[in-house]
Amino acid sequence: MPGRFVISLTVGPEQPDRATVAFVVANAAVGSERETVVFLSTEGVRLAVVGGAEGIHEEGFASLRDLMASFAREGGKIYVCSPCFKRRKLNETELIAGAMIVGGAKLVEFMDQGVPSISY
Amino acid sequence: MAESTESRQLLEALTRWVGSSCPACSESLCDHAVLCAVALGLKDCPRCLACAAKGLKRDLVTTQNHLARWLKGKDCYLRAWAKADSNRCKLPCHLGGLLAEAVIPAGAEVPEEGTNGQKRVTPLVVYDFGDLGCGDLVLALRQKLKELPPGTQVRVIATDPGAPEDIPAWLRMVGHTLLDASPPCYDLRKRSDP
Repeated sequence: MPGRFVISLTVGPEQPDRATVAFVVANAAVGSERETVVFLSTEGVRLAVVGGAEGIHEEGFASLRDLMASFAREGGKIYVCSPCFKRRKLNETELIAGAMIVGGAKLVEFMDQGVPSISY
Repeated sequence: MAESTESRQLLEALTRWVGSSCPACSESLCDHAVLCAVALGLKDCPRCLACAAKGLKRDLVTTQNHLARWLKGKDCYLRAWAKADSNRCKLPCHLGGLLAEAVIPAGAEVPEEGTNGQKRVTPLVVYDFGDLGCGDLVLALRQKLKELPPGTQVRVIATDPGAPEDIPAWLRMVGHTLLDASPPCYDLRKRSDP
């Protein structure tokens, strides 16, 4: 499937540098007119709720909240691992823009035809 | 399912849903309507019988007749139905005579003869996967569908928050047809090849 790109992010607020770089790359992909998905799993799902990225602002980068908002505004999608989200008892009514809770099948379908990906 | 468990679930459904509104047409659900909805596999999202039949892509009369024949073979439902009769359904009810009035229209599916001489009807195929999600859900669903003949229409109930995205995606990938999605209910038709 031409023009798709996946960024897998498995860390959240406890590793702000990796989370930030993941969204910098995601914005590069969506800015390059790729259909881009950030897949948040394990601790990364904490970033999918409102306030989850609050206060994360690594030197030399925009704040994570702004990076994520830009990503959503440009049409990027954030897939949020359903069992990871449930396990942490997060609130599905507080998802940020562009985020949707999915199971593995949704990600498999998106990547089915062979999609480049990078993990953080 | 053990009958005591089924009886308890019926009681819970009645307690929870009688007096609530059908999400499709807003009609108040009486005792009989809730029992019909549970029998159709809608214990988590009951609808009035007309809307439930519409959702199943069946005509109302056929659905009523199937339901009536099925209910007559289930003691726990019959007891709950009788109790609803004796309560005279506090809400407007047009289902009270369902069991008495059921007829088999010309051309309708003829029920099989059960081993004990009772009429038996093929039940609607409904699978309730509760809060299973992600890989567990699709594997369980795949296993269930493998047991069914091609073309079978199935209602899946899944409350996982990822299911609204996951079930349609999985169906697209493997070639089954999504007929209707009203989370937590998903109606599908198994693909024509096994």
